[in-house]
Amino acid sequence: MNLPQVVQYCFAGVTVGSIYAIVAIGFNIIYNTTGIINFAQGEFLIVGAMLAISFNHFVPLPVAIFLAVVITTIIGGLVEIVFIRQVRNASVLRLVVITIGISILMREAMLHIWDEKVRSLPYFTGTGVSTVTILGAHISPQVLWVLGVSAVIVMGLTPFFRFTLTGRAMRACADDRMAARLCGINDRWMVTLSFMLSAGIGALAGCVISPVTQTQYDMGASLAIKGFTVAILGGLGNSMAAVAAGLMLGLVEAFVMSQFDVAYKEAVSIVILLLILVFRPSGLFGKREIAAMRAL
Amino acid sequence: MLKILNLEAGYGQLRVLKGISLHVLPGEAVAIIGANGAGKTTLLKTIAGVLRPRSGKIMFNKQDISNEPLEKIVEAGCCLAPEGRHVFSTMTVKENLLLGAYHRQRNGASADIASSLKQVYKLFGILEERANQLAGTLSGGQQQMLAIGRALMSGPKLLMMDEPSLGVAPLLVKSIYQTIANLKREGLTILLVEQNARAALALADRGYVFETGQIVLEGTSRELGDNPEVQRAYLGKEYRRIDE
Ligand SMILES: Nc1ncnc2c1ncn2[C@@H]1O[C@H](COP(=O)(O)OP(=O)(O)OP(=O)(O)O)[C@@H](O)[C@H]1O
Ligand SMILES: [Mg+2]
Repeated sequence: MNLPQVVQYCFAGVTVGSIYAIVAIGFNIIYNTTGIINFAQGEFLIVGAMLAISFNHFVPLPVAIFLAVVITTIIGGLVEIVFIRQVRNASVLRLVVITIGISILMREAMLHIWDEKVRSLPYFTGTGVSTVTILGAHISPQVLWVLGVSAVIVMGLTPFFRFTLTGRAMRACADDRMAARLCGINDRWMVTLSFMLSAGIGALAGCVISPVTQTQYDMGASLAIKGFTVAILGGLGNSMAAVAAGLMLGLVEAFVMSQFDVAYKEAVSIVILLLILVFRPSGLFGKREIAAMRAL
Repeated sequence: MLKILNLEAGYGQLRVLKGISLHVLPGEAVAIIGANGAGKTTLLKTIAGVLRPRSGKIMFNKQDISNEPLEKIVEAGCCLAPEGRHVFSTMTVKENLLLGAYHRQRNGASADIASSLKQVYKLFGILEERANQLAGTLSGGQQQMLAIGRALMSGPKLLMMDEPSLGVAPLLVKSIYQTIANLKREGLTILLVEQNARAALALADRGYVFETGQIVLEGTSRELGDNPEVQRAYLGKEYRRIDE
């Protein structure tokens, strides 16, 4: 491989990797406030993209994306209020199974609304063939959009959790639910909010990635598996580590694809997931680091 | 200030509180003492709204709070520093304290919060020194101070404390109790649960003795302290006599 090729694969890897990271962050936000893994996280991305594609027939792209994110955020909140909140004596396992049910429900609903056709949003700038040349490699400008938006999401979440009252209250719920309630924090509302936030950033990620990967009603499941691998890899609940883990998985996948058959790409994340679960269940980044990073 | 009538509460099948009636007057410090598992923590949790009463009434400032949501109870000025401290260990000391004032921040009373923070720092100097340290890295006694400080940040009219001396070094217990005494002097109403009956009765005006979910004795701190039953069971006087 020559330099431009390496750069090319790096960009490809970092691009999908950053989307995996966003999915993983979605997992983590909900995991932190509830202790459950929301397997409908992948569907939020697809719903967001599909809504934006439909709206884009009537309104300009930025407006379409904005509406899609808002509506998906509301859907996320409704999912929690309708399905999660109602469960009495909920064990974590039971709730996780319910989220799997929700993901199937959402997928079927999308099949009815948008059928099986592969769709996509238009490129945000330029067209499918326009490129930016970086170190000799030809990169689609959309890749830069994906990277930029992912970075903004990640960098926006840190001050949100650190400095805003609501963000702190969500962290407090994650840290010690009873103490948070004793401070007068409405923990149920924080859980709803965590679903809304995860759905919202998921939808945004789904929109920016749509021109590159295209969008089909059933693509959420594989995104969820990748995101889950990344979340586990980084250590559940640790969003900064998820970013590192996401980029890592993306890069590994890209280079596996460059050296071997494309078919091996899917196997990579499963193998990594199994290895991690067997050898380092607390994630690549140990408990201490997690505590330190969560404090951020 | 607080009036409880025939309160019953428990967990699932388990009936813990079997008809408790007690009251706390404004400005008073009241201690609840009793053996392990008597239901003291359960009582405080029920007042604070963490647990729902099965029956009975909890009146706070003439308002029935027995079925109010927790947020409303905190807002009304009834706040619990829970047993085992429960500080937010992954957050800094200052963040912990500010979260104590959560409902006031939502209502936009930031000037009051700054003055409360100053007041808490004055009471517990160590918290100011450690303001930017993670609460999980504080010692047990410091965490207890933080838990009390956090409860104070809500601007309570009634401060409930569940075993503030639990797992705290004797020297710190003394300083924590001095601070509580100062708060009382400034007019704060206090409901205190303690295993350390000696410390509790020294501070409180009145006390109740709990046994298996019922009140078996009540009286002024002096009366309770002089009661031979209390001395034997909770103040360990008998043992000393044996030693001698
Ligand atoms: N979450 C719970 N679920 C079920 N039972 C509980 C729970 N918490 C306490 N209990 C039971 O309720 C009873 C009273 O417990 P509680 O914690 O109120 O006692 P306590 O007087 O505070 O004791 P201690 O002095 O040890 O703190 C005990 O028998 C205990 O086993
Ligand atoms: Mg107790």
